[in-house]
Amino acid sequence: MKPSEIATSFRLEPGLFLSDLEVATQEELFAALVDALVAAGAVLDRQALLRLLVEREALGTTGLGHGVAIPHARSMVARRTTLVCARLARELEFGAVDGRPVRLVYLVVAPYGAGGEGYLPLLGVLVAALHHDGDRERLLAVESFADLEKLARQLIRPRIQEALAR
Amino acid sequence: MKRQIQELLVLQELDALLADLGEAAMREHEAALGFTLGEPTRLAVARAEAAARIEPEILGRYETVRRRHPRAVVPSIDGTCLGCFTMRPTAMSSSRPGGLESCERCGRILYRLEEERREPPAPPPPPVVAPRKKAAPKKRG
Repeated sequence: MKPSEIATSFRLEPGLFLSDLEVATQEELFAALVDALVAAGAVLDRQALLRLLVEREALGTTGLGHGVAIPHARSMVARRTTLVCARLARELEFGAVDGRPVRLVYLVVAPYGAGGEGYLPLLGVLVAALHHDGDRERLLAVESFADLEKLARQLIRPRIQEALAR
Repeated sequence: MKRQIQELLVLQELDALLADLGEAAMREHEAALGFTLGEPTRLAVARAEAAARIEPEILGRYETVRRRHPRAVVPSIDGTCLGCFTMRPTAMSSSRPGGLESCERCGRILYRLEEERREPPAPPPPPVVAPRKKAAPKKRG
């Protein structure tokens, strides 16, 4: 696999899109996201990753505004770079930078070393898309796994390749 | 045993995050993306609490291995240590603290993957087969 292919490589599958997720707290949200990762076989241990995400969030909010949070972590129990997306049934208080509650969550997890090469490029593209007016609309419009696949195909992977080519 | 491994995995995650926070590059990257990281005061407390839940002997072994390998607790699959990828490295030894499995080659503490730890599914019940009737002897003649 070429370096550019490795960097754009991240796991995406239907079970990793959570629609109308009912959660009342951040911890419930992280638990649901980690459960999806465990069910997909993307992580080796539920408790360890859950605790990591909770403690990472306590260090500083990943709510970047516009109703979107992008929690992320490198983990010793992650198998490879994986993206989980959740659209929440109700807005969730997240201590976001703009003070607005969160409705859409993109979680990025990756192992240290091999398999985690796509972590920083993926995270960077998601954040950049959130801060770009046109791209943000596409990010916010994701309502199904098909939308997420389309976003990955049309925006995320090409942007990662563009960034690598610079 | 399973509980101690579980606690070790949590501790290892917290240690890795603490190590990341100590790296300027990681903090700079997070800041460049718009993420503000505070001081790891709560994280240090969480680390101490996680360590306190582990038996001293096991914790000591973890700390010893971690000096050589930042990833001190690794999975094993079918007898292969996923730290050094050596086959058949495991030995249950009473000399190991808490009877933890360790890789004989690299010394890392091993755990079996979650899916392997689960109870195997019950075997399906044997099929109910009606006893065969003995074929009636052919009449001669």
